[in-house]
Amino acid sequence: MHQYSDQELVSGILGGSPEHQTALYRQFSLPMFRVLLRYAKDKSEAEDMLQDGFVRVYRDMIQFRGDGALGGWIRRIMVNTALSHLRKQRDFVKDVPDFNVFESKFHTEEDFASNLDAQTLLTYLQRLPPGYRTVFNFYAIEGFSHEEIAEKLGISIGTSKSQLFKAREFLKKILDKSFIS
Amino acid sequence: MTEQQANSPIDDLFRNTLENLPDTPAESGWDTPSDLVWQHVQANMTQPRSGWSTKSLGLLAAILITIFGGLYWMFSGPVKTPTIAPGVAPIEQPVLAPATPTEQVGNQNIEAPKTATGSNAVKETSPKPKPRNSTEENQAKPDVHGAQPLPGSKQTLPPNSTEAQKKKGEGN
Repeated sequence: MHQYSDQELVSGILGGSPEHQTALYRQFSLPMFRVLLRYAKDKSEAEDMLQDGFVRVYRDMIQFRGDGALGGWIRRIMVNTALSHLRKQRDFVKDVPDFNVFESKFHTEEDFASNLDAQTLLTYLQRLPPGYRTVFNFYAIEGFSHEEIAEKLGISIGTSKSQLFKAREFLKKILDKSFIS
Repeated sequence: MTEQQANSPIDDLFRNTLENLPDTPAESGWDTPSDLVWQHVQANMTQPRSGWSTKSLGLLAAILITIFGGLYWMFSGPVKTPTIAPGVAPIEQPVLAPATPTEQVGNQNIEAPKTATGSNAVKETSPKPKPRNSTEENQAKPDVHGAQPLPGSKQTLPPNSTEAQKKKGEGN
């Protein structure tokens, strides 16, 4: 499969070339789907997000100015699309009442099992409540600050910190259980 | 990204594992979207917004058609002439033209009072403006509120009017 440059893809898509449209999807669907799997609760929801995200990408391609990499621009659209999907869920950023803070026995990365593959970690991440999962993704993986997360999600900074803390504790609990079992 | 983040080992574990995946999809297919996604994307794909959209072009065409249609109707439509029903005489509108001195004198039909020598006391060379509320003006006005003479009856003049005095003078 021919690998197009960013500029070639943008020009071809703006010219209405079906070949370039297909090439863009083939080139970016895998990495974007992996990103969306972290925000979604399952594969089906991630596929819905991916579909809407690519429709937006083709529709708004004229707005791509070429300042950065095309992949980074598409990723921002995908994350925003995921956020739009999550916002449709009522009170997606909320506390889980029966959440118990777990005193984890593992405190360093080396303490965790080294054979935890990506699919297993993703499954653990998808078990989190949507608010915890979103804040954890934004902070731990995307690298946003609590101020930025609060602005993006329309919550307070304190809520963002609280959701992150509880997400970490939740993941520790799951990981510990996986070790025990 | 503006503040120094305090990452926990959990954060590092997830970031390092999920961000450093191989370029090829997993054999199990857990990270590969269904082919239906691309089919749905193609079905919902619209042309990128470049220049004028079909909707805006249609709107512009509708506006232009309305404007030119209106102009055509205004300037090239049939001229409407007032139609008069057969058997109905057209109402003549009084033409207001400045009256000439001769016409005015002739129309007045009122003689100036004569002096003893029989000549007119005042020789009018030019028409003078009539005084407001003069007797002539009052006579010229139709008496709307007064009693109207019956058809066939002899017209009687008020006893102290100018006409009555003139008739008295003729009689003498």
